[in-house]
Amino acid sequence: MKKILAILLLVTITGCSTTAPVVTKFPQVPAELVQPAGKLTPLDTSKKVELSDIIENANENAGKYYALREKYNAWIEWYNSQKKIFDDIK
Amino acid sequence: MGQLHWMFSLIPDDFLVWVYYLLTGAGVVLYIASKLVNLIPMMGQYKFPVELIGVTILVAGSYLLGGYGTEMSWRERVKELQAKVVEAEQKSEKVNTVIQTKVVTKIQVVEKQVEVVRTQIQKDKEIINADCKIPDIAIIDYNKAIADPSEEKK
Repeated sequence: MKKILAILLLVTITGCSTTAPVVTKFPQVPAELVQPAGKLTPLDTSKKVELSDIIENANENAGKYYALREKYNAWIEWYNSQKKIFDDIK
Repeated sequence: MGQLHWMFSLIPDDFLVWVYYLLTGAGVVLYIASKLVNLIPMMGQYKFPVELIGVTILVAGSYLLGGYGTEMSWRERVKELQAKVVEAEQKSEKVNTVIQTKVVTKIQVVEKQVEVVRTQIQKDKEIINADCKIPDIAIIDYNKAIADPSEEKK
């Protein structure tokens, strides 16, 4: 009788098991941030290079760096914000 | 077991829960009756079968009642979580819009700055180039500095 009771109690406990089907989508990334990084522009050696060409080239490449830096910082901000939002789901 | 739960899900919950309570109650009554059956003359022989049936019904009722309670509390929890997920997704989209706008604006500022400096260089071109001769090796070295190291390895 005790064995039967023990088995029946074990069966009873299985009634408490279940799974929670909650589906979360991976958050979207702003389109601007998924563009691949461009290359730096070298000096055009096919013509005579002057100091002004070098400065202009440095200016253009610096612009590319600063644009990339903004995207990189935006990625950090995106990650931290999304992490906070999804960590709050409890 | 899953099919059994699915079949039960077709029956209205209120009706089911009453059946579970009745089963559990019947189990308790039968179990108590099995303990009292000796007091009634000629009925002592039914003690064990009544006790067995009582315990079985009691366990089955408890199982179903426990399963029902757990299912209901999980459904409630799932609904709660699903609402939070929807809210989080909306917040996430808002954050994306803010970041997208911010990064586009900042890149526009950078591009504008590059353009302003380019115009200034064009204006100062003659002064900049007046007393300066660039050796070819300087240009080669400059381009080497700009070259992508990851591409050179290929």
